[in-house]
Amino acid sequence: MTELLDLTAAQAISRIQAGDLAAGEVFETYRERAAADDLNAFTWVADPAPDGVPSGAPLAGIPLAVKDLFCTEGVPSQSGSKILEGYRPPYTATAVEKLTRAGATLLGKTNQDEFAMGSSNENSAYGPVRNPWDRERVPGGSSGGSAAAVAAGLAPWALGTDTGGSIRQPAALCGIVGLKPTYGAISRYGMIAFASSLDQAGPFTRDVTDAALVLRHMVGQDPCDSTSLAFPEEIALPQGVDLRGLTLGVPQELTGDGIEPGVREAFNATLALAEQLGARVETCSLPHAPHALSAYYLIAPAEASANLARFDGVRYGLRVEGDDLLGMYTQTREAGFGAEVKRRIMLGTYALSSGYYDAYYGRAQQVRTKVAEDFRAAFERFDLLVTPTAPSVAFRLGEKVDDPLAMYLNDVCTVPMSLAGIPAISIPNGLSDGLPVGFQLCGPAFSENRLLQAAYVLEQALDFDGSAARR
Amino acid sequence: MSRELSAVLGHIEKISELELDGVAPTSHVIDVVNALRPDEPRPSLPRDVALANAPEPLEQGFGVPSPGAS
Repeated sequence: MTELLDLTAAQAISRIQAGDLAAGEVFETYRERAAADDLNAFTWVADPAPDGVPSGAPLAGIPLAVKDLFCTEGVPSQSGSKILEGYRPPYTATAVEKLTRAGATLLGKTNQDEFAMGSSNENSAYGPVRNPWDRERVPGGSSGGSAAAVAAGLAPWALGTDTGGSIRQPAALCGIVGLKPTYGAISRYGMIAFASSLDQAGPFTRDVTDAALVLRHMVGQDPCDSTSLAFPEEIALPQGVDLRGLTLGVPQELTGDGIEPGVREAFNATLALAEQLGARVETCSLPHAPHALSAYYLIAPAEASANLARFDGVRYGLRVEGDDLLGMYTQTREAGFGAEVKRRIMLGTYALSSGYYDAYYGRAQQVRTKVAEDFRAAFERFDLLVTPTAPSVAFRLGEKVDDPLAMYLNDVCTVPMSLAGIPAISIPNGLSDGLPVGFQLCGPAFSENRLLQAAYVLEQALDFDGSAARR
Repeated sequence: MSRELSAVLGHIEKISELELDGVAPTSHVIDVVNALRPDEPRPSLPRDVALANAPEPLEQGFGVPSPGAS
């Protein structure tokens, strides 16, 4: 069994296909571990192994943990919120449906910040998730349950969503791989919405090869999501031994002030490694990146304030009775939404209100244009840009919970790519004081193959060992 | 909460320093035009399934309290 836990998903699939391992044994091993989860990573765990994995399916029945906000038919899908407690959707999200059709089996639903609003998983109505590297610390967020589950070996891989860093930051803080694909590459149908122009699904995996494998079966246009696009090429499994011919830009705005020393040292060491592997590494500039966080914290709450209007106690979820219809709405939302969600709804409605719209939301959308232009200009000179994923290692539970601004600053290195809609990946970049550090690579829209290839070569050279978190 | 929101707004207000005259706003990052599917009828959710999560299913619809006098 220990041996099984040492396998990546791709390795387990090879063994299953060779007849050396039974898919049922893999499922049961992980199901038992997920059911015994003491990190609070899961909000629901499958009971018996689902039957009927299509024979010859490329994902061979490998169990998949899925962030709570993906709708899964008949299975609780609560988006970390009390307002959706007990909600069992009548349909399944396209991303999950596609992976199931490719042979993945639903292992469980994972804990998250309420409606994906948070960077520590402390905003979940179902309690915080603990980081398997140090249980007194946060796993990051908002997809903290998915990240902790994969890092701790409670799931071979998992799905998350990333609006401003919610896949990449927890992947970094938990020492695993997290990929945010190009906006539009994966259908958002069935994802309980936070900020629709930014939300994107993606995988958490132990290594880059597994990330490519999941991505390959998730991408594609979906008639149920008019913002989804056909991916222009097949997602390849990465290979290669060097980075010759690759140019890497290092944006000075995202690698200087505010990055803690241990994270910066690890980052600089990996830049040197990339040069040894043949890459050309040069400093570059994203002049508007320092304003990206401000624009993000206007645009995302504005969209959220519209999206969350659907939670009104009428069609599903919590209802708290009031004197009349309006009273029922307000009582339901007062009881059902947590503090951070209320904070963002207020920020969002303020930014959209008459008289403030131009100064806040309008300007934020203009900043978004400038941020995207900065990236386009940089990608004329560089194949990929690299930054630390998060400015610090995992912080202590409770440390930032009373200071929303400090919490938001966690997203400083991940938000610019979200605003530009471009793909980005975080890979483990060693430890600082015994805690994982992430290294982020990003590229132009639909450059996932190039991104995965470079991440793979660096991963092989870094040879990170995450087994200590899987005890 | 008002103190926390003030701190956040204080940070956000940095974008007022930028010169943005004439910059087009971005609401959607990927260059796509309207994606419309053929307007063909298809089966929808059965009524009982659509109502299964409703707090107050009523006469095959969603029951709500009276809007009241206001």
